[in-house]
Amino acid sequence: MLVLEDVSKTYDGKRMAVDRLNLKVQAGEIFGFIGPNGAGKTTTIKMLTGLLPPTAGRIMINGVDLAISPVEAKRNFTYVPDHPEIFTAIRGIDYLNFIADMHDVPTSKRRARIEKYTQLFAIEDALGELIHSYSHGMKQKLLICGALLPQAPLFILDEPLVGLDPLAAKRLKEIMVKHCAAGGTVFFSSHLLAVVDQICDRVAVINQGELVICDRVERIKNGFAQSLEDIFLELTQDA
Amino acid sequence: MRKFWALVRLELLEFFSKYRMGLGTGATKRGKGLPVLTLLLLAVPFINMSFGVYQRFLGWGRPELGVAYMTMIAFFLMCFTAIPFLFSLYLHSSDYQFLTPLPIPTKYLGLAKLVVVWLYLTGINFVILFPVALLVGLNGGLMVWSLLFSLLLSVVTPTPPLFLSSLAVLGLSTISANRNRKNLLSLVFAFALLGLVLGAQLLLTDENARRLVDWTTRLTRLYPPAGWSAQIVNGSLLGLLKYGVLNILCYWGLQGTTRKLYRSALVFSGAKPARQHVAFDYRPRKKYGQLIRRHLLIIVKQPVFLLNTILNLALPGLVFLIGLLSGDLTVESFLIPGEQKRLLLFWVGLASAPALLTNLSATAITREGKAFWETRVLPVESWTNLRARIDTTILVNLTFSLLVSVVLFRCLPLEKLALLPVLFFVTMLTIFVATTDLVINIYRPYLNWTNPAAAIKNNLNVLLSLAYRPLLAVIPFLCAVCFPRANVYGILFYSGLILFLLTLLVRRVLRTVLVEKFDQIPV
Repeated sequence: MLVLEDVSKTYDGKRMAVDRLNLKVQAGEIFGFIGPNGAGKTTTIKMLTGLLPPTAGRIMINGVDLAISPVEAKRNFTYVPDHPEIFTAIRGIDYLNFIADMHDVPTSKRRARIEKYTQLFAIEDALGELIHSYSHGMKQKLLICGALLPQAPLFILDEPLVGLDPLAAKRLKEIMVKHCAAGGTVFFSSHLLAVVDQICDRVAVINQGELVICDRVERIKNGFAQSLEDIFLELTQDA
Repeated sequence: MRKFWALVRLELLEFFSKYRMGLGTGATKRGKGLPVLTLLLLAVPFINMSFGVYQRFLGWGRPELGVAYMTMIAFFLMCFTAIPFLFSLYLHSSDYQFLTPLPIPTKYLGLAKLVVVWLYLTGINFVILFPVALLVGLNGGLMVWSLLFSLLLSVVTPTPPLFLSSLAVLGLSTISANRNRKNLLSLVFAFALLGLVLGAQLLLTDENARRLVDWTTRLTRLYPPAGWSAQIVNGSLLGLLKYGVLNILCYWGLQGTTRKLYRSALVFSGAKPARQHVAFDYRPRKKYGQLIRRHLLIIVKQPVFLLNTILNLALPGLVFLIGLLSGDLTVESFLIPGEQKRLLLFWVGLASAPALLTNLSATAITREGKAFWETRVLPVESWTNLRARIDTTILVNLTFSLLVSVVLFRCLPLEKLALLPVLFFVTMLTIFVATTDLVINIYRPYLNWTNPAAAIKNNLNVLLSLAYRPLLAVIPFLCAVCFPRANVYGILFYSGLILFLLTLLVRRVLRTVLVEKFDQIPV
């Protein structure tokens, strides 16, 4: 579903923010992407979503090269950033309709999906209000509803649980699991290692722009005989 | 009281820092000096207006009525300024969150904000009322005393309009609690302010002399403080005493209104409006239409963007209207026999003004600010994304240009034959400018603004886009040189054609080269 081949990014031509990153995420996988602050997680995610062009390397999404056919590639994923900065002078419903139009969600399915997801995240009563009256958590929920609405095969989520209440966080985790059970893929970054441990099939650890390890969670744990938190600290502090 | 003055200092610091941010200057020495310079520059036309009022009323033999007239103008001006200011300071301020838990008497919190508004209004008085008061006092032979009386007058006049404005804000508080309605009210008051300043100038003609003297005398009876102002500049201590008593009464009133405003602010900041379930429209819209709608909404829903756009679009028309109403311009002045060309060029100039004065494309990316990432991750071609920005500018500017063209065509004695070349030229100019301005924004995207004014005003993008516009005059000049036999319609047509070809060229560069640069704008 998602392939990164020798993807690198440098902002100043000297220091590599991401250095020859190679990843393969299979369909049906929940893939956790973890690393300390400034490790290159958000830079990598921005490259995956077309927000930043890589300095070198190739990104394939569902077999489509993002650099060659960006529109085709973008039809295959939706994205939730680590900050809910959106155009806030419109109503929540206008935002969701906008996303639905851009992803060609048909009328017959649009209403049902909007109602389903907004009820699930308990923001259905706020849809008629302007987004700038929303709290941080509500904006985050709206962004998540917008990302779920097109039912794209790949969800790319950057710190999606930040700002969510426990119930919303639980529901999002359930959706991620269900999505993958139905053949979809989730690529998400998080600092919440317990969550990564709980729901991810595979995990990649990145530090100072370089991939430190990438494997199944249980195999990583077997190799170290420690908790994921201890392994993470050991892998990232020595570098 | 020390706590009170510390609060006042804090409020003043916040006011000046917001003003500086609005100008887009930093906290450097130069950054601090620029706001003072802009305030001085802004004061010049008002001081001129004050001198003009003095001269007119002196000419009509009633200089003291000039003071009464300016007191009333200042009264409305202060009300129109104070009401939106009080809305922002009291009902939409975020500082209550950290001020309320502090061990400070509640009345201090309300009154400290009031000091800022009072100082602001007194500043307005110093450029509007003070000059005319001083001149009338000097004319009356008071000499040095006139300075003292004019100073005292400038200090005592803001309190009554401030009190009435606070009552108005209390009355409107339930409406303005909604931020959108508050923005709309601010817009209405900004236009009322503009209308008042223009109206006050336009009324001052010799033809209106008798009417104006009558009105001022009558209004002075309705608002006695205007009459007291006239008495004060003539050295009346009784007038000053009356004003003093009124100030004390207004101060008591203000203590009550500010307390209520403070309570309302706390209620509004804690309360959420009742949510109603309304039926939504789920019909799909075309992708391109949605993108255009988004860019239009960014302009319309942000009051700073909207006001700036409307002012830029309407300014040439307003200047023309003022010219006509004040008598400086007459339609006859354009109708000199054999000078139809002048009328035509005037028409072309006004119809082209929206394209030449508004720089919507130069800030089309910047205006999105931190929400710029949204359209970048959607399955939309980058060129389509860029084209929607250009077409939004064309839509806004061309609508206004066509409106101006048709109105002028109906009002002025213009040849029907002229309509086609003029519209062709104006359309091509609008498209060219809208396309070319976007190049500037692609090279200079500025997305991390916090104050919307910084996105569209006083930045280099806007200046650059204005800088190349005079060069466009070369096109008709070259056409006139290359086609000496062509009449003015021919020159307009050929110029439009050249602009069309240049637009094709710029669009090609945008589509092939700059679209990549657009994709590389860091988010």
